[in-house]
Amino acid sequence: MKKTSLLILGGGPAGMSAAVEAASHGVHCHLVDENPALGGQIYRQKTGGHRPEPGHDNTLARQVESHHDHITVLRDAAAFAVLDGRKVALSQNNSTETVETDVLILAPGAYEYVPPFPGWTLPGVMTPGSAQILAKTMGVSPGKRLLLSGTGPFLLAVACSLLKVDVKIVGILEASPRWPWLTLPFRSWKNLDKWKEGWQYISQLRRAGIRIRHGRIVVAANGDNDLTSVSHAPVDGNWYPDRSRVETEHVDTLCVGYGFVPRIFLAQLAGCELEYRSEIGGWIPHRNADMSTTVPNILSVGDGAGVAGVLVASLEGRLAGLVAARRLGAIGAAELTVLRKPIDAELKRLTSFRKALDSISRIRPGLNSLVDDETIVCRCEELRWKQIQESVAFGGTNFRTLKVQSRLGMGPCQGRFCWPATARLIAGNNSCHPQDLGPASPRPPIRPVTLGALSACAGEKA
Amino acid sequence: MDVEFTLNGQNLRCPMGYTVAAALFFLGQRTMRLSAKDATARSLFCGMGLCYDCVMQIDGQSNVRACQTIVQPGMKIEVQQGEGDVGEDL
Repeated sequence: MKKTSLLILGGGPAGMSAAVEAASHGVHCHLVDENPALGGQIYRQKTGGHRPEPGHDNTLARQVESHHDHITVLRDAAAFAVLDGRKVALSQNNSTETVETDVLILAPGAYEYVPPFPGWTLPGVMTPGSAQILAKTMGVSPGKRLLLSGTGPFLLAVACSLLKVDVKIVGILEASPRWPWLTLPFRSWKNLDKWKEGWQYISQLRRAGIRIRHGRIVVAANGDNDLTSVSHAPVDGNWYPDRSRVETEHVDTLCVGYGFVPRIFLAQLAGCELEYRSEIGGWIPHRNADMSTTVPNILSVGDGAGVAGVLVASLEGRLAGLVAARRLGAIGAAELTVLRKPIDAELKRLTSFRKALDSISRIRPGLNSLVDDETIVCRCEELRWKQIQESVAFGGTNFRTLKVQSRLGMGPCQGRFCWPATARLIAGNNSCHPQDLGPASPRPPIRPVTLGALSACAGEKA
Repeated sequence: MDVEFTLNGQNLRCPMGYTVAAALFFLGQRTMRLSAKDATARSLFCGMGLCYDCVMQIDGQSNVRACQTIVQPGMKIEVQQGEGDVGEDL
């Protein structure tokens, strides 16, 4: 078994910041990322021989590189289990190994929230992030005619990325009412830079002649074996669609996403206590101001600890790097107090902006009204909403009982995609709260690993 | 520079560095598998390796994520039928 003093899982802004901060105080660490290059989703680097586009921010990745004497980067590697204590099982290139660490920092990031609606499994229906990766890292267009739908500024960023490839963007449907930022408290305007970024996206899209329609959502995707059209309708303040005013748009691609869900499986396997915070993505590891979870020397940072975006993720990562350096004896208590002060202040400054954005993008209950009985809810196991309702009627009261009864979440995604939405659907139907239904309960391996690869790990343990 | 590969036995090519998913979108062939129960077409969804909707049969191995796999010269890519070919031993 390999040993390290600091293991960081996730090479996005949070994980890279943690590594750089710890390394700059002399801590040796391992930084693990599942992609071929560091960056995470936001700083995803181009693959193959493609040059990075101008303005692409790889500052953090360069900083990691400059600390190569302290940071060992494991690329194309992913944790698939957390064993007793701080032992992590990693798979890389179809082999596995376990790493024991003194301090573990979880920086897994988040994925997009897409509630089920009729037709959402059709080829051509994808998350905005998915389309952005095709366009931004490989210059490939996701389709010929495309509609974006959902909520939040990420839709605008993706639309801007798509301007660079050969696709006709027929429009953007934002579920929130028009110009919600004008109704925001004045204190959130302190973070003017972030608002400016939003305006830049909007003006870029305006110049390209792309229409943003507020207060509309997609209610169905239509087609037999491929997407051919999308039905959308205006919504009320709670996002309940007015089905008497449905419009149909002929498109072959729909990018749909309503915010993000933190990736918490590793924290769960490590035994970290969770809490439910709907406004930042649902279930998250419970943390204190040191970024520490309820398990000693396991820290959690970035969007995986509550969706807050790249600025907060980087700051939390730096703070966790400092805390890890302190725990490992690389810096003293007084030094930590001095060093963390500006980071804490900056995190506090960003709070008002975060809260403002959370309130705009909050998931409204009408989004739960899109399913009909035949709508597939669990994509992996092809379970329809009526089957889930039957399981609930049969006494399914949480993820585990529903899983046993119906196979919900039994597929390879282990409930990542179905459960956050299904819990909301069931809660809406039964006048309870999604948190009453509990989180998904992941089982190792949390990603498919071949038996051959797994046996290497098992042999090592015995 | 281009990479040559086969899709369901057909010789095709795409620029180097593309993922299998990108190559299929580049060529306008978006169906990556037929689901196990209803045999409905599935394709790229989350794009970041988490949803497993884009799994294909690649070089004989089933359930390989098209969005996370870079096309290699001579790669044999097939649309996966259901759970895929799990081999004779199983």
